[in-house]
Amino acid sequence: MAAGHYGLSNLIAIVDHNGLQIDGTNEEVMDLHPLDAKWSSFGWHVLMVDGHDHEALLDAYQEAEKQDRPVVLIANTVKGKGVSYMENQVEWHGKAPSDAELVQALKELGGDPS
Amino acid sequence: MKMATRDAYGAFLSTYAMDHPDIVVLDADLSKSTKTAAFQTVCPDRFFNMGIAEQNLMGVSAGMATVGKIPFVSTFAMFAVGRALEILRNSVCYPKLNVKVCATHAGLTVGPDGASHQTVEDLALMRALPNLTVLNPADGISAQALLAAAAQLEGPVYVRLGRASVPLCYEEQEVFAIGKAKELRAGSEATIIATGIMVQESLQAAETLAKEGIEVRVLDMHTIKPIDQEAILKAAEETGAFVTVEEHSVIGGLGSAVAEVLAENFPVPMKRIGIKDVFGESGEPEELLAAHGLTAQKIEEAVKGVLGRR
Repeated sequence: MAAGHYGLSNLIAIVDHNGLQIDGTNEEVMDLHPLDAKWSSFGWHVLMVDGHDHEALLDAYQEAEKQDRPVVLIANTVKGKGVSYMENQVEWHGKAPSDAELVQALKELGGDPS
Repeated sequence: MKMATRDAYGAFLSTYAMDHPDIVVLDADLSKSTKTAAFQTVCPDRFFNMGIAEQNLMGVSAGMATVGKIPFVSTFAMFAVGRALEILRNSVCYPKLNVKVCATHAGLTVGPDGASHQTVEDLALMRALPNLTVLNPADGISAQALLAAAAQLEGPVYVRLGRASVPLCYEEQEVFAIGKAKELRAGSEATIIATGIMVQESLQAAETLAKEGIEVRVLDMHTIKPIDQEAILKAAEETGAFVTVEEHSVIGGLGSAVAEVLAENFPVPMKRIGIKDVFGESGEPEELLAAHGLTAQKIEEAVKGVLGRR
C-alpha cells in the first residue's frame, strides 16, 4: 500500500506462489484468492509467471522495468520441485532433510552428493 | 517554565535534524501529536508519513537505515513497542540498524485517552532487546540534548517521550552523556534514582526531606540501558538505601534495572515506586499520578521507609 502510494517504480516484489503454507494449503488455511486483484488494488502492476521458467522470469523483469509503479511477479511454483518426496508436500515447508534424504534429493536434482 | 518532552522533540527536529541531511523522519498518522509535523513543515522532502501501519513504519525505517539514512521514527509509545515490536526486534535491533525510535505519549500522563494508549511497560520491553539503547529524558532540555546524542550514536535507540508539559529540571547548555546518570542533588543518607518526568517530583521530595534534616542524593537515570552501574554502586556504598521512581510499571523498568545491579553487587534496602502491575485509566495527568502514588509525598514516605530498614 505504501509502495503504491509513493509510486515506487524501482521496486519489484516476487511472490513464490506454491499454494502451500505450514498448516495446509492456502485455500484451507486462509484463502488468498484473488491474489492478483489484491496487489493491483494496492497500486501494483501485476505480472503472472511460471516461477520455474527462467526465460519467462527474465522477460518479466524486463517488463517490470518499464512500469511507472511497483511491480509484483506472482511466480507460480511447485514446493519442493524436482525432489520426488518433497514435491507439493506441506510437511516440507520448513523441515531439514536427513543426511540420507539430502543425498537422494541432490541426486534427483542432478547434483553431486559427495 | 514547563515543556512537554514531545515538544522538545519537535524543536530538536526543526533545528538539529534540519541541519543534518542524513536524518529522515517517519510517522504513522500522528505527526501533529508526536510533533514530527514541525519537521515536515521545514523539510517536506525528508518526511514520510506511512499511514496507520506501524509495522511497515518500522520496516521502511530499517530499509532507509541500510542505505545510510538516520531515520527518526515516531508514533505513540503504545504502538511503537506494542504493534511494531517484532519488526523493531528482527529488522532493527537484530541487524543493529541506525534507527531512532522516538515514542511519544508514554506513561500515564497521556491522560484522558486512558489505558489503551498509556504504555506502562515500554521500558521493560525495550530493555530486553539486545543492541538497543534506551533513553528516558526528564525534561525538555535533557530531551533535546539526549536526542542529539542519540543521533550521533551508531545503532538503534529508543527514546521515551511524554505528552504532558513538565517543569524544566536543567539549565540550557547542560551536558549529557548516554549511559551516565546526572546527580541533581548531593546527599549521603539515601539515594533517589528517578527517570523521566519523575525526576522533578523526586527533587521536590528531596527538598522537603532536607528541611527535616534528611539529605538525599537524587540521580536522573535518563539512560535505562546501558544502566549506569558505576553511579548506582557508588551511591549504594555512600548512601546505603535506595528509592527508585518511574512513570512505568514496577516490573522490568528502572526499578528492576537498579535492583539487578544492587542484588548482584551490593544489596541495600530498596523501594521501587512505579505503577503497580495495573493498567492505567482515563483522567488528567496530575490526577493519574496521584492515584498511582507517583507523588513527592509518596517518595518521601518511601525514603523514610528504606532508612528504617537500613
